[in-house]
Amino acid sequence: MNDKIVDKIINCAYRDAGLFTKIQIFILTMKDREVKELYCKYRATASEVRKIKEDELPERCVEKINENAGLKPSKDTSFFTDIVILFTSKPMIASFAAFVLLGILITAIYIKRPEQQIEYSQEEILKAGNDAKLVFETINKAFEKTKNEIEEEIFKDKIAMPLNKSLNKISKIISKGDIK
Amino acid sequence: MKRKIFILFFLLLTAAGVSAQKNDYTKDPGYFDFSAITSFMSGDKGSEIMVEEPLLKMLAKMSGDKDDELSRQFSELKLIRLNSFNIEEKDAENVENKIASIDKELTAKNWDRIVRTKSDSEYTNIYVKTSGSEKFLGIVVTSINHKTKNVSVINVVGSIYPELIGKIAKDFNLPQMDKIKKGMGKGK
Repeated sequence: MNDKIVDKIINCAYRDAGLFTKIQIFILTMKDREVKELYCKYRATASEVRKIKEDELPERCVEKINENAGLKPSKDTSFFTDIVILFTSKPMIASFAAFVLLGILITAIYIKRPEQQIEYSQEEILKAGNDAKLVFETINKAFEKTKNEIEEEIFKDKIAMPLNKSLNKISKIISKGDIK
Repeated sequence: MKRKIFILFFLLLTAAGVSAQKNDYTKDPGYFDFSAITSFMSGDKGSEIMVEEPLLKMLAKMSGDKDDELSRQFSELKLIRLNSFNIEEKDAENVENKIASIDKELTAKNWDRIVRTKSDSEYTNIYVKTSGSEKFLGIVVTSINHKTKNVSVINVVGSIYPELIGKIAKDFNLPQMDKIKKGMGKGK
């Protein structure tokens, strides 16, 4: 019995073989007792293997197994792909849970907000009104003080006086012209 | 799996962060932190005014019936803050230096100093943060009186219509205020 035949027996036992291989091994088991014994042995093992339930290994173990087996790790997906996968991946129940969780959060933030509004007493509102007015009065006072200073000092010294002088000169020129 | 949990947690935190930012006026361009100068306040010799957005919205609602302009102004404000306090003689020079450094900081942050008055005993500066439109995004006032040893700092955050500053100062009076005042006078 060569290695090729053994491989085909294993494939048949684990139900991975094609139809042609299955027929070939079926004929061989009928003819050769050794092939039949080997096939039965692998079939029993395959049956035991199938009984083992699937269990998720910790990522670290998977990485280590891949490392030992010389397998390259799969390419890292982008952050946004991960977000999309989070809501579309199987099992659907996990995606549904993610949707529900996000829905609850949005509801809590935006819909429940008005209920959390602070209620103020009339005294508090009155105080806030008076405080706001006081602050604006202070700002306005500073503006008015500046305005008065500009009007009284700057306008008087820098604009009004030269303007008066100019007007006087103009009136003198005009009156002189009249005389002529 | 761990990664999925991390992403979900990240999304939750981001959503919570966005929500928390809604009332965070400290990120507003018109906000200025005065903690450097208010630290000179000694004991109880000071007063603080702090009117935040929810109360300002309330004022906007209440003044809405009487004056639309004032209502619009209050609805667009986020914070009104005033700190006024007396300082010790020994701190006077430090406070002056601090005000000078605030002046530098504000001008470096593109605030415009529109008023600078110096009388014998009082120095007052007014700064505004502009946005290119007619509205201000913030007002800051710093004032120190050497005679009375009093320091006042003001920060108004939000959209401010300059033409309404005088109007609020002179005409703002909620109709409900009178009722409350009368009620309080009766000892309620």
